[in-house]
Amino acid sequence: MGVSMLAAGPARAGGRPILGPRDGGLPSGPVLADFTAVERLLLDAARRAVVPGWVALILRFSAFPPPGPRTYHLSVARSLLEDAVHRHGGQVFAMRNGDLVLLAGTAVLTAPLPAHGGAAPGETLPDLLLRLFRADCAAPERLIGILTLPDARERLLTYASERLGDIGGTATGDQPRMPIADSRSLTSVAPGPLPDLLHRQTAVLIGSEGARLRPLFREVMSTNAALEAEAGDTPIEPDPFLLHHYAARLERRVAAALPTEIGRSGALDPALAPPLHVNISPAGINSDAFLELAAITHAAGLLLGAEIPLTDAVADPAGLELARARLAREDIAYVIDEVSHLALTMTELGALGASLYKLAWSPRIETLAGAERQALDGAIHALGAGRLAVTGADSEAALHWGLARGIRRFQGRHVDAMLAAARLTVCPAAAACTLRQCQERASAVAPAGRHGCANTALLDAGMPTGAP
Amino acid sequence: MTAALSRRESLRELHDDEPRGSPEDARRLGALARECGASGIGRQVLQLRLSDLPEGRSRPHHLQLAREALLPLTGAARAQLFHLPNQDLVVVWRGETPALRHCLDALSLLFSDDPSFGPDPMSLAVSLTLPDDAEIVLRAVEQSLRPRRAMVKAPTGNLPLEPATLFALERAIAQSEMSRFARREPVCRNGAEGMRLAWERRYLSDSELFDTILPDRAPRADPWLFRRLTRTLDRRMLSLLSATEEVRGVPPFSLDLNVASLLGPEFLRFDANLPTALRGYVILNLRPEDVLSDLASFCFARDFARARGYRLLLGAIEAAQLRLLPPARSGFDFVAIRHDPATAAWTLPIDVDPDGIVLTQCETAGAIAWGKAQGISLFQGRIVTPPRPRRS
Repeated sequence: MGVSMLAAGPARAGGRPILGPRDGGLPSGPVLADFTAVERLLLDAARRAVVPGWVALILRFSAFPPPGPRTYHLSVARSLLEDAVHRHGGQVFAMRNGDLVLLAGTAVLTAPLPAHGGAAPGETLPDLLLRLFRADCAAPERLIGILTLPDARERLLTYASERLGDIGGTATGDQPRMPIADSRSLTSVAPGPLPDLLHRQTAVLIGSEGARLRPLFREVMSTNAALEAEAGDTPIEPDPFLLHHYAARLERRVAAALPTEIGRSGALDPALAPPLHVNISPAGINSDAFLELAAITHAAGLLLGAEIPLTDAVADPAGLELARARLAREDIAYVIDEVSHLALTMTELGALGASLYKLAWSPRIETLAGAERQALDGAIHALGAGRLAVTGADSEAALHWGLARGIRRFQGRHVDAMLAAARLTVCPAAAACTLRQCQERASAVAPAGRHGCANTALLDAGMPTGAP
Repeated sequence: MTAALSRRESLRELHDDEPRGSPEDARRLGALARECGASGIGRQVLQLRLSDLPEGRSRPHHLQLAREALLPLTGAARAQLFHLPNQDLVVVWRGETPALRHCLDALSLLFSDDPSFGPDPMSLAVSLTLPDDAEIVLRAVEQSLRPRRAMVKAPTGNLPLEPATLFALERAIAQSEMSRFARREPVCRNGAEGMRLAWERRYLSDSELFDTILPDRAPRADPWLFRRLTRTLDRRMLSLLSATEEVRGVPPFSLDLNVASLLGPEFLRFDANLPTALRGYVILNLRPEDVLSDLASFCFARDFARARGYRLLLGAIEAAQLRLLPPARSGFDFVAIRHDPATAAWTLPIDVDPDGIVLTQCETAGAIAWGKAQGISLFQGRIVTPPRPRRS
């Protein structure tokens, strides 16, 4: 098949529905031998777009907000466009920059989708696309361009020329812009001493006037490097379940390693320090190693907290029940971690009975509007802002958002910087340190990471007593 | 054995190293069940199916622990303990007792440290009521008197899965002929005319598959690697169902899927091949931990699936989890709740529509009765399958 297929008009029913690189066996016709022709074919089709009654629907995945579209955004959109072609005729062009262009009759925009019992009554293809992308994109309408032909023919020509220009007009066999991986990939890292691969971060309570900070607890967490070291030489493809597997293995090692770090005048010693929180699953809490950790921290006068990821709590209800009983018996704080704003609105978290729920900050939260924003605000009110902490507070925006809703507990890199600044104002040895150094040393668990600090008592306390 | 157990007797009996299963106990239990059935006298029954324990979990100390877990019940009114010849234990007593709860809690902990444990620990304990469940008790008696048969093979492997083995297993699954592991299980709607097929759950029998291609491993021992494996099974199931003959003229069906599978190319191909007649009649069954692990993906998948005419089922969850996961908030059409003896003490929240609940793992008439009392009409489980022919 070549350009001649499009000679009669921009596109026509019954033709090959998808033109462009394929991403994994989607139902489509024969693959063009020369993928690079796609941008040129679109340009040719735009030049011939002089017949009324046609539209170009452009899905601008290249403009998807960071971190970019996921694989399924593209494949599902492509499947929906192809389905539209089957019903109304037309053609889909898959651009190398990730964009998809549908050239079809105007009915493709206006005809209601088949009801099937699931689609909203009267919903059209653009409506559905907008609805689908809304979960990941604050302004999905910016992703969808509709050009009515032939009036907007010049704009389509410009768009097609730009796409051809993107690839220099002559590129051959280039791959399309890849969507982001559904999960980060692991690489092989030589295993080192575990404490070197651990990290700690202090959560704070911000006073009602917004000025005073009070350290609440120090969370000890595994770094990505620790997870990667756990994977060793095993070749791994990006997969959340594999990451969970390695996290569970690592959790056992951390629980076994922590007791040796306590009582050695190191980062986990109790002097003036806020309670210690560990990330752990219900199975980990029910293990002997955790009991030993609890006994050692108790003997050292250190208060302990257990942070259970929401997914683990839901996956193992029987284990959670036992774990809760053990935490209550041992007087250990019970925290639910890794709660997304969607989880907050779609679940009744209070049923888990934790003393604190850690809401993972995302810039998407700030952009919620209408019903979504109301639902989130309602969920915060129902759970109680006092039982929530915002984590990943790496910017001032997270603090502003939380404080505006009565949330006063925060954790994140912005908080780290605030604590470091407060320490530097009172530390007699501050002249030798930068803010960044103080911040990094406070996050280290291993002695090597704290090297250079002449006031580790203040470093471990998180915040000088009585400081504003 | 006397009609009621003294504490001392029950302790001695339950601490026997060698269980004293006897045909005489089986016959007496049968007589008691028939008597209750004929006279309508009410009794509570708890059957501990030790004969279902996998080989590696039925050593003397395991049996001892299981027997000790029954101890609280032996103090109930008119309690009687029966040792069946196949090592199953049955306690019969009169009236409600908080000891049942304690006993079930203890049983639930017995094997909770071992995710590879074949049957669900809670399925080892069957709570029954006489006279309603007299037939089930009689069947248990009958089975216990048969020569020890080749039981349903429990997973025998106990080596955990490692990533390297997992990848090899995935490659093997990708190349194996899977249709022989494809199974269907009815989900029935109880109406004025009794149970009628609502849909079939279509799935690949992972236990048979693993027994065949990896008999020395326990793939469920690592829950996360096992979940990863289910995605491979999803792909194979979807590939099977993409064949026209698999979906032509078939009743409505449900599929167990991961969210990622719902958004993958195999599902899109399945969707493209789905006959129009089945649009609106295919149900996608998603697991709660999978949904919660990436809610943005789930929301996208949910809206896409609904637009393509699929209905969504969340499950199976424990009854108590229903409060945590209100179906109305997450956009599920159905929620599957596992029935277990503890469910009997629970009541469906008033704001949950019983029409959207599927009661699974129904193994006794009591389970169905409980479901009906809650207004539930959709049932799944061993007792929901067509009745087996009776022995003369």
